[in-house]
Amino acid sequence: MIEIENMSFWYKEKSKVFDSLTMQLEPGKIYGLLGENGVGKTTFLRLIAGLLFPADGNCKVMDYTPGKRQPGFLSKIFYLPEEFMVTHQKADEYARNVGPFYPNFEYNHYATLMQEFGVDGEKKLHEMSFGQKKKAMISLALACNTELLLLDEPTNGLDIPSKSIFRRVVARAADDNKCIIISTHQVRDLEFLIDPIVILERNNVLLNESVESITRKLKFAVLSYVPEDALYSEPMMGGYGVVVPNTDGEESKVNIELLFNAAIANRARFAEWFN
Amino acid sequence: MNETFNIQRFFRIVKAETVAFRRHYLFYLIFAAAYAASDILINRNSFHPNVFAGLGLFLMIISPFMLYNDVFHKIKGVNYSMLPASNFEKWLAFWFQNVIVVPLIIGTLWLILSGLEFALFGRSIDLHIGTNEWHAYFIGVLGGQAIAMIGTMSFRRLKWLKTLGAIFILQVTFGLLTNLLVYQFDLKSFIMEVQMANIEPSTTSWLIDYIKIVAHIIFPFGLWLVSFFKLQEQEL
Repeated sequence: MIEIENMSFWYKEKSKVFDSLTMQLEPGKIYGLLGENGVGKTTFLRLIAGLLFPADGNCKVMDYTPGKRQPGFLSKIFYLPEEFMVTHQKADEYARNVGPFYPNFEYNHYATLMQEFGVDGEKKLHEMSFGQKKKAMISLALACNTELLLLDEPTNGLDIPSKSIFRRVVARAADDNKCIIISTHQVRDLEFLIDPIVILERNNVLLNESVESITRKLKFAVLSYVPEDALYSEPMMGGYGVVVPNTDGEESKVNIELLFNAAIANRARFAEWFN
Repeated sequence: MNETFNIQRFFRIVKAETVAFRRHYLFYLIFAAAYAASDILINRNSFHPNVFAGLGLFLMIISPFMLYNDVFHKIKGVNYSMLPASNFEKWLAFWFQNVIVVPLIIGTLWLILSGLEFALFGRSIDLHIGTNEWHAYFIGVLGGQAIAMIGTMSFRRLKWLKTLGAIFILQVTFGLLTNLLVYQFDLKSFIMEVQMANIEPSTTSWLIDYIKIVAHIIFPFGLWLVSFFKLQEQEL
């Protein structure tokens, strides 16, 4: 679905955001896009959406060049940024205006999602709280039923029940033809939703692996001690959260926060293991 | 799917934008009503829709700043850029709102005010402004609007101020260059010779008219063309 080949991008040539980035993203998956502040998660999403143009290399999304912003491409993609502007229209009115641009948009689906999130569609968007606006925009994004959905920090500003509703509606929306990319810092909110996991580092991608592949190579556990071969450890309730190489083939549950910290602390080893 | 132009998609954008801009259009209506009310209150036995026309021309010129100020903003412009329509359709809708819809609304309001003056004080519309004047004003507005369109797309912040600044810098630069050329190549004497020569006014007037017409068409058309490419190349 997304093929990136030797893509470079920079705002200032001396400090490149991406340098010859190559990766593929497939349909039927919910990608979790992780990375430290400033590594270019939002820039990555904007390049895929066609809001920014690669300085070098190729980026193909569903065989389209995103930067051309052709209607056929734009009708198959919905990008929900972390911060967004809302109009002075009512949420339902906005959905009725924008929805018809997307061939698979279903107003009833939108209305159902709004109800599920508990947002009043008759309220004007600019009068809503940040969380309510976000829920209205998530409802619209999902109701547009696009093949590619890009969500930048979607759980920011959502209350606890809404985060759980978000996980439910996104899991329901996923199918074999869709690719959903969620950029987030709040990994605990999406721990059971995202698979594969993509970790960006400065200039390139550090990890792009399925949870299954990760747990084949790494083991996550809470132990009362820190093993010698631990890639990463941190104190937590009941001992130490540790990431160790999986030598006995036993699968464990991925702790994304530990995985992320282990990846950052062992860049070279991760690059060797997973590439 | 036609990737360049689809009439349904185009009208969908126009509809969506008209709904989004309705507050601006309501502002024109309130502005006209406020003008009429204040004019009647101040000049009890007369009325000046032509002053409103002057203000209306100004509103027409600045309409790209008023309507499309945020569409190229990094955050505020995302929804617009991601709207599934071609760059050409978006540009055409941009052009349609500024060059057709806004002048139509302001023109209608001016006609209503003029009609009101006729009804109240018995003065006809032709007393204020002639067709030729309208034509000249409209050509001027098209040029001004085209500059405003470029300014809206070229600058991220303080768009109108920077546009004015750019016009000022360009004028000063061209003025200096012209003066430099005149003195450098002793063109002053050449110009004076041409002026002293006995050229029939009728011979030059058609040429000047021709140049004026071409300039009036080329100037806004060229800037509209530039604005289309600007829209296409816009990164957020």
